[in-house]
Amino acid sequence: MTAAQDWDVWSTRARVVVTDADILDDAVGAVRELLDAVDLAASRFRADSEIRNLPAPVAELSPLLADLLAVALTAAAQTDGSVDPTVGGTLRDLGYDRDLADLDLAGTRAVVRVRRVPGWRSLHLAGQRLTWAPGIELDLGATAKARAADLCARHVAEQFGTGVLVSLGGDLATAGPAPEGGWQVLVHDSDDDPEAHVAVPAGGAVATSSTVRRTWRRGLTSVHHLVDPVTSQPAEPVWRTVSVAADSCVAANTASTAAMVKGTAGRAWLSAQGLPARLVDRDGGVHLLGGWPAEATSSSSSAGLRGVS
Amino acid sequence: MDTSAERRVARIRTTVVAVGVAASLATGGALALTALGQNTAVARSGTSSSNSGSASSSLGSGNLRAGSTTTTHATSSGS
Repeated sequence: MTAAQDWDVWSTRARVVVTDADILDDAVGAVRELLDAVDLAASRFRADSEIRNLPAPVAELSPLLADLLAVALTAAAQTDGSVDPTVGGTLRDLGYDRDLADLDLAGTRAVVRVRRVPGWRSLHLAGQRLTWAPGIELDLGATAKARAADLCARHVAEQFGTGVLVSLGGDLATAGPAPEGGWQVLVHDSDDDPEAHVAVPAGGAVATSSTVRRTWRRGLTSVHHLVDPVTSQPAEPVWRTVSVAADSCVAANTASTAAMVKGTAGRAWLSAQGLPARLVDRDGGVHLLGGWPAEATSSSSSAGLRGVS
Repeated sequence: MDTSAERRVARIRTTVVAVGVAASLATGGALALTALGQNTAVARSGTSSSNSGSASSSLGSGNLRAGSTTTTHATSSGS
């Protein structure tokens, strides 16, 4: 019998599901502690975080932040820079300078200047030593949340001997044995979007990226949080939602974020990765790739199905 | 030690272990991740390149199946 608990974290919802209901409280406690450690290491929204106080041009990182940055750099390399950890300054210029819950979503202040994304190749990480230029602002949001989900799931499974699913804002990782039939996951973005149900096997992960969530206004312009490092602007919203399944949440999130940023080219790029993926275009059409299961015929999920490839 | 005490110790250890794993990954000379379906990538700096490996994703070969419409363990949505 599974048991679950939800709570708010990072302007979104965290959820832990375990197959052994007796250890739920302990599992949640362990996840909360690890998320606190990640937050202290990598949050760009708190003044006392490690990432906000790194010296330049050389910084010795904590093991945890070094790991999170290494993951981010790996994602950048795998996506030809579409997922870039140096977008922090650009996001701040666009108005995303605090936790989303504290953001003036209807802000009337227009964006006057947006700095160019320095680019991930301006970072050099050797072990725990980071060499970088002054003025670069790091944002590990795209991958750190996914990495946290992977770490939390792995450690809960190892420490408590249970099957576990950890979801952080819809980016979810699993570890240990799955319930019979797999982890049942509803893939659904906003209320207007079509939904899908998938059964994720033990150890699988699913991540969803969206241009309709984490949005705010700057002047007359609606802005979202996925910056294209090439243009230093929010990515063209070709896709409303991209969901990807993989063996780790980091891999799934990297692929979903990159496809979103790459826009029209994202579909072909994602197809080449060979991962199950589901894209919802701006008209609500659904595109299935890489073995993502066909969706049940219902009024909401079959409308606009554009084909399986 | 009774079961509840063991669990408290395990919980305290979790963060320590997690950071320890991160440390071993960070200082091990290379961070290996199962990457995007078919590659194991290694990237340690902005100037290094990814290396292909043989790791494959079990989810890339049709193991993701249609799920139940009556049971939902979690929802994946954009955030």
